[in-house]
Amino acid sequence: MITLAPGLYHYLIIAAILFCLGLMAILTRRNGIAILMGIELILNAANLNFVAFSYYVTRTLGGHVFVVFNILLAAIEAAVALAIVFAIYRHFHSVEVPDVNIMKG
Amino acid sequence: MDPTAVLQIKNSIPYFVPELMLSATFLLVLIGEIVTKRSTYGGFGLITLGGLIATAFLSLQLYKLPETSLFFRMIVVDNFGIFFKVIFAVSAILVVLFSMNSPELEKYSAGEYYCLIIAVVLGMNLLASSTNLLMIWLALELVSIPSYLLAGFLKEDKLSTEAALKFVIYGSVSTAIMLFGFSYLYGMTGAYEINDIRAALKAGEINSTVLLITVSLILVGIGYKIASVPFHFWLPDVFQGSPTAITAFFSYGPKAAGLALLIRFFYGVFAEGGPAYEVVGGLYWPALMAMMAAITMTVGNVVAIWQTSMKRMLGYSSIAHVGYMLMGFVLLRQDGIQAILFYLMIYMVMNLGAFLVVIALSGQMESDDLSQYRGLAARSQFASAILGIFMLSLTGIPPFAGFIGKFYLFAAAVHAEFYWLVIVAVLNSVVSFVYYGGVVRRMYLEEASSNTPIVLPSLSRTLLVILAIAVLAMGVYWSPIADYSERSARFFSQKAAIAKVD
Repeated sequence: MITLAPGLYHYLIIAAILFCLGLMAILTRRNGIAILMGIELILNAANLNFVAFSYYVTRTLGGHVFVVFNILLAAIEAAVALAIVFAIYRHFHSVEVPDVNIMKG
Repeated sequence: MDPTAVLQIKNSIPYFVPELMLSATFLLVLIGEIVTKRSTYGGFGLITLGGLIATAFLSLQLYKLPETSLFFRMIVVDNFGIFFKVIFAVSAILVVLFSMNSPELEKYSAGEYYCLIIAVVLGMNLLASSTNLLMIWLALELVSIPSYLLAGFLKEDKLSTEAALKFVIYGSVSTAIMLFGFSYLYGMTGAYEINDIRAALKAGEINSTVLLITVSLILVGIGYKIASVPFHFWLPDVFQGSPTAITAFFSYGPKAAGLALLIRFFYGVFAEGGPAYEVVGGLYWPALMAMMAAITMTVGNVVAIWQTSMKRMLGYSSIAHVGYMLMGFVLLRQDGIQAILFYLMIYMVMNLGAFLVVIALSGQMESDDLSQYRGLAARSQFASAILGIFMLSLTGIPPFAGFIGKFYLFAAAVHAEFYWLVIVAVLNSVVSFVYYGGVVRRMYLEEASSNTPIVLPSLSRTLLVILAIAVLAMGVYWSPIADYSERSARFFSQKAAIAKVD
């Protein structure tokens, strides 16, 4: 049912690498902003998958539409997350996530 | 534009009135805040309450209509979805009432606060009725993004800001991973609509390893929303740091929405019209789900014993209760789903009741530390009696409603022949008595540090009496709500072709 034209695998591999890089950034970075950048990488890996599948597999515009919504949501999420990071900086004078740890247990 | 498309949108509108009502209330509160500039929690609270009551009423009007698919099969209107829309509206009404005299919120803008709550309710409504990957993703973000802001709503409070940071990081990572899973699902099936996805999965030769990875990625997102172990790490800190009324809100609404999504997505993709999980071979999914339920309830209950903060303890208790509810999910059968819906109604009353006592007392206690509850009975007979009722009901001790709810869930697990899961759940109930009973012991058997009597505000007193009577009444006469949950879950057994508006 799925006919694969040459080229799809390249996109999928790039997307998988982007996903892993994003996950690595989230797990290893201590800086809040760097973690947010890792999240963007994962979102864009998904976007790349959607467009690649849409172009090579389904040959409809469905994937493109999804990506447009994703870009919008990523912007909203980044705005909210950065506002929260600013609030953190005001209280803790640091954006290093391990410093922000009053609550434990 | 295509004339049939216009017609489709026009004919979908009458089924969409609850969501339109919420949007109208959102705009009214937002514009009201801008125009009047002075905002009070009482005034805007009343507008919000009006909107939410109208939403619940309008949702009930759509109950019992045949299942209808709207907006090019983006969302569906059915009894299951409407059941959730009504409980979201009712729980939001309770939270708005709690907020109206919550001392910690007073410094901050009331209009924004209620707008964010309404936005979350709108997102939950859409989440419970989405049947399309794009709509699920949009609704999930509509629930999550205002939630991050609500968690950090006390801008001048360190704990609240820390809670918001932890929430936004865990939340966006989980939803981004889920989106990556969606992209693979789309690639494998070429479809967005969950019925089309199931059809494609059945028809095509799917690599079961890839499907397993995809479903695991999606489960990360849903697991974060319902806070099941191992995706629960955000919950304790967010619960402790957020304003207490918002903690009460998070402990119920978004989790119920996550359960609705879990049931609709897994049922739609893996079960409908045949034995559960037949399209995902190679792995015994019911055992995996049962394992998740068992671990979730055990972690929630065991860690709750060592908590010293009341809000944090109730947070772990809410993890444990999600574990109990997952027991009804293992086989994706009607009786299990029905038990989940039944438990959700009871859990709403007893859980929000317990939070309301905490909110009402917070103005007169130094902190939310459990030591503050020592000797409460000597300071306020009323508060300790009511809190005692909710605690015993949460444990699941007979005459109270919590017992009946658990009974249905245990019965569902017995029907599914997961006897070991029932044993684990019974042992968990015993363990949970250690911390729920611990609160009662502190209130009645220990000496108070101060003897100043505590008087609760009259609105809280009235609400608490109503909720406590509801817990007692549902414990002895539960057949109406059992029937209601049975009717709401019925779409799982008699699935007819979905009517489409045209």
